[in-house]
Amino acid sequence: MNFIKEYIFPAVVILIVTAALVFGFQFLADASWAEGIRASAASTPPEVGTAPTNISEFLVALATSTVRLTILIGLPFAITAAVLKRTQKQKS
Amino acid sequence: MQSTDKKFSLTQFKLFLDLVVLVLFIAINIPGATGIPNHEWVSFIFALPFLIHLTLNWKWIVSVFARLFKKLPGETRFNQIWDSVLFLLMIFVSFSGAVLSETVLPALGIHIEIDPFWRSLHTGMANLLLLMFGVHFMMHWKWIVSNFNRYILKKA
Repeated sequence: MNFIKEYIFPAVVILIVTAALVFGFQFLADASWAEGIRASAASTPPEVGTAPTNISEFLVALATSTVRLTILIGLPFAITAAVLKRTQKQKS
Repeated sequence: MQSTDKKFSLTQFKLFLDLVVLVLFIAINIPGATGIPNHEWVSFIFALPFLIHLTLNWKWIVSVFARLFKKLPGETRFNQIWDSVLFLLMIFVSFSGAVLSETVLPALGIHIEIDPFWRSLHTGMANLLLLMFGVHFMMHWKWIVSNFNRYILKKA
């Protein structure tokens, strides 16, 4: 009984909230501003091309992805660390 | 006979699960190296550990939302807002990715006409998600490090 209350119930609630959000999100495509995004996206090539076919292509793609991830995750990580450090210093 | 400290605690399970979530999250976010089909399969697999991650943190979610209009420590309030937005964004990126599926959904017999609108939003929001994840990761860094030291490196 405890297992249902502690794990199954929360999982069901999360799934229901997710389903409600997904239901809402689908209407975004019908919004008036969606047409402009659709038109510009249709004329833009996809950001991700074909998968690497050999080891050197794979290594280049991996290096590019690593740099991208380092910037996108690492930068906010470092900024937050600095802010937290400063706030904790002010507190003490 | 098993001693108490050898038992696999909930915290240990959460730590291992978070590591799995992290590895899958990184694997999803390098589609240039893995290719779109692998990106899609890993993304669909990711849904399960992500759901368990939220379920295991349910007590925290409920306790914080029960005090929605009450006074909360600054860091807790920040985490409450940030994690909620992160959840919304995660669902949005997952949904916009799912409707762009060229491999998984067709393999499951579901065929959807791909709308470029979702492609544009999926790429942009996925980048925003990474930025937000960096902050989320740092906000829980202390918990990660202390439990990593305790359970993986076996430091006291």
